[in-house]
Amino acid sequence: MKDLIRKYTGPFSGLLAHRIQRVTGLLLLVYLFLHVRTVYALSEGPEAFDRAVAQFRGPVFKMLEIALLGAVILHALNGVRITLIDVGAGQTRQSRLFWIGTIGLGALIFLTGAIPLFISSVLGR
Amino acid sequence: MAAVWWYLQRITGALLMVLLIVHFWVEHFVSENLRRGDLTYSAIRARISNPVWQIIDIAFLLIALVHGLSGARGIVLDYSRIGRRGARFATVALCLIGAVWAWWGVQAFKHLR
Amino acid sequence: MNTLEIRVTRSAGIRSYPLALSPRMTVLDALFRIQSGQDSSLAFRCACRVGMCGTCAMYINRVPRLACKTRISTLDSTVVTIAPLPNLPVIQDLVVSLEPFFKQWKRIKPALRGSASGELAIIPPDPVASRKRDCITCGICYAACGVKATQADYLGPAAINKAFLRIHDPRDGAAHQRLAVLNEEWSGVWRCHTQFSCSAVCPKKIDLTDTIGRVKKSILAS
Repeated sequence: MKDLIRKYTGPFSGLLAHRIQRVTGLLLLVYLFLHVRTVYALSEGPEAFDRAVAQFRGPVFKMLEIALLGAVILHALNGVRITLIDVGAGQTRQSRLFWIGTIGLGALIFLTGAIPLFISSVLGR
Repeated sequence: MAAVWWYLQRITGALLMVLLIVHFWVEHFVSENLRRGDLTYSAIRARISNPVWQIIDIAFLLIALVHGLSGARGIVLDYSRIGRRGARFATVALCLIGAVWAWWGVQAFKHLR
Repeated sequence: MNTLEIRVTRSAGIRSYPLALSPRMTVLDALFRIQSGQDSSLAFRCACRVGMCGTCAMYINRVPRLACKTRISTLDSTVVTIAPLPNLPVIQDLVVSLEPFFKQWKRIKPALRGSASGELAIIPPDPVASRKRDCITCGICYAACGVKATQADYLGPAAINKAFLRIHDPRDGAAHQRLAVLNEEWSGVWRCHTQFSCSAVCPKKIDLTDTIGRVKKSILAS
């Protein structure tokens, strides 16, 4: 176990980034499906839509929203990192780009979004 | 041919970042109601009846589908043992899924008009 | 005096060997001690013992490395796991066959072909290529590659690196043929997902992901 952690935080951080990219990508595809489903309810009139949206007030959905925010941030920032690497600008510093750019900067942006969301879910709407 | 998929992912990815920020801004920060989180039918309908927004939203959906399903194709090709013919079949299948998904998404706009 | 536990994945299963740690002991030293003092049936390969030949490549604490260059003290653990290199067929215990590795190697036509220009005996100066010439064909990059783990057809980092060196050599005349192999949809450079595992583990510190990226760019440019 300790070996695995050392491996993925050490020489194999690029592999960790790749796997995170794929996992968040799949999660976002699932989200896209659910999102289109909800928006489709728009076409069925205001009652159907409001019913659909009322589901999203509960704390469970708020947590899922926070998770979605995390997934989007990770996937987008890592995507920027990959593009930088592909054009040659990030080749020599890919590991730093991951830990500082994706994880570090990602955590900052995540907290600015997640904390208000979390507070509003606790306070209720 | 493989280079085309590679290019596509990067270009759609960059476009998605822009579209996502625009979409998120418009949905969560523009009107007072939306800022409070009241996603009401009328608030959203008002925006969506504008054809410019329809085009942007549909473009967003299509680009997201290309990026997402192309990524899914990569995952299928890397982790399955279906061979080259199986890979071509998977590509066609994902294209069909994408087409159906896109059509389904566009329907929401059609009924509003 | 530390006592180590060396867990070796052998053909018959995982075997544990207790061993006293001595100063500057390498994994290869440990294997020799086990073979001479505890179990003479333990099979492993080595040759030069100094990191030049690439023969002793193994999966040590879940990272492919050269056994002769891996000091036990740097592993920072009293349990050392040793397994045969992944992505290659096992012959016996820690001995693997490099046949698939060299099959891919040969596909890019590693020998210099024809003489497009210049003196064959003089290696033209090239700051980029000169950092990539040190390959000892140890197979460690091949073993580390996440794509190689599931794709038997993929060329692998070492073969692509060799092809790169040939393509950028003005003395060579077969660049076009090699680029066709490299551009192949299922086995070529496009299967690389820039995981950087190969660059991280290369004992000669060749930045293989950089090489593959450069080949991608040459293909796009042409």
